[in-house]
Amino acid sequence: MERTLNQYLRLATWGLPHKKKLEIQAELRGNIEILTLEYQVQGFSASESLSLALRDFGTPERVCVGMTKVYTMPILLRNIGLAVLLSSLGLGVLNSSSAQVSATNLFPNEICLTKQADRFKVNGRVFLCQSKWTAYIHLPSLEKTLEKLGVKVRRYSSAWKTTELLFPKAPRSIYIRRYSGPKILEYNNNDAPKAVAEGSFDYIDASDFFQQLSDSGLPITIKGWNYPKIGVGKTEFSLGENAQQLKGSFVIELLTRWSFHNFFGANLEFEPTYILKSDEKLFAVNDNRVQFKIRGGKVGDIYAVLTREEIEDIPQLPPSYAMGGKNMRRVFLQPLGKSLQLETYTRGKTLLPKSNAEQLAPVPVDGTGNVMVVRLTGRLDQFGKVFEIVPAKNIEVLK
Amino acid sequence: MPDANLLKGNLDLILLSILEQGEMYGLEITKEVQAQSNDYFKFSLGSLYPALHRLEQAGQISGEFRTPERGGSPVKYYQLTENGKKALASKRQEFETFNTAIRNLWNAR
Repeated sequence: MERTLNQYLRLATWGLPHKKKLEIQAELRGNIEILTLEYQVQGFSASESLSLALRDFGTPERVCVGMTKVYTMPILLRNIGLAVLLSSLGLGVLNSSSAQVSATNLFPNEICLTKQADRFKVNGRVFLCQSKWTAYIHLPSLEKTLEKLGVKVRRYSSAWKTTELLFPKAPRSIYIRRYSGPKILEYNNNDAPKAVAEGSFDYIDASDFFQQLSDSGLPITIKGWNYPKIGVGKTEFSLGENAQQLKGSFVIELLTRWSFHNFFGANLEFEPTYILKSDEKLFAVNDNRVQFKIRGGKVGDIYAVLTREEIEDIPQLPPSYAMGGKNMRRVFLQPLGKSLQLETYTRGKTLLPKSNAEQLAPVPVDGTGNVMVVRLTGRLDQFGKVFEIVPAKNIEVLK
Repeated sequence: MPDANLLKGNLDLILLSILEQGEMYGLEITKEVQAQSNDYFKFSLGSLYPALHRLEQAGQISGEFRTPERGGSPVKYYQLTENGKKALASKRQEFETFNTAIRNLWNAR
């Protein structure tokens, strides 16, 4: 921020006599700081406020030209030759710098939108939202985007903890869209290079998130889901009337698959595949380990067994919902505790040595609960990037 | 918003008029002018400061750095000088004469 202000002041006073330059910089600084503070009181973030204040002050070139006429030109006119040289040089410098510092360019490209009559509207309907919501966000890039939009992000943990989104008092428009693809976040701006980042948005909390929208009684478009508490196709909301100039769009995708991050630095996705119920007595306990046989497996396949406790952690979500036009049956797992289980498992000898082999999973079970067998695919590398759990078919648990 | 040329031609009169009410710093001047003109006059701060400095150079206003009441960095408070008061009286008279002349033209129709 200080750097931005200094750069503005430097350009605004370019070419002025040194003493006058310092004086004018001090004057402008004092006034800009006051205006910045006023914007902050309205609810804009510090950086936004400065940007808005600088916008109100106009481009530094304009100030510079005005000041040059007052202070520099009289001197230059006394020395015509020098004046011609300096003015041409000065214009060159100013032109080359304007792209960096002009007030409008202080906003990142990806959040600059066209202002409409009374608000900035990205697409679809605009409605008011509450000032504070909660979401799970683990993407630094998303946090940065939110902060650019004036949304304060409070993270309570680097792991799976609630992240609070504190929306500013000042009006904003934020664009939320769900995609069915695996990506969660992408900047959506025609003028900016498209950037995509992987991440996750907590499924349950997203439900609450959009439920709050529903409860607000404001118009919400929900598309693409048969579970209305969760789904959202395109959702757009503004935080108030008289929307200000700082408007942006970003896209949040609600994953249809659960994702883990920071697990061996890996990205884990879970999908329930095979649930064995205790009353069916389909599992055998051998030294507190479950033993199962897999037909059709390949060498290198990895299987994991989820214990009853873990299954109980499965949130009560609708067992099926539509995605991409296909009905897919999935259950999502609570992240907490799950990573430890898998960690234990992958540290064991869990590679399937050959097709149709029996597998002894080093997973402690108490023999009374349900067990779920899932198959992990992807690179087997604890320090690698991707693990993925996909349906494990043809599993027979040995009694 | 008035025509840009009209505003530019009367900028000194506007600034001297507002400073007649008392000393103010740049941002304050802009806000007061805007408020008292019912949002008719809105000029960018970027053009205000050169105008203030021009008037200061001409000896019609004088500036002094002071910390504002709310704190923070010092800002430059401007006030009318004796020369400024004379200039304001002159410009005001000039404006009224001009205004009267124009109205006479309209009334002659």
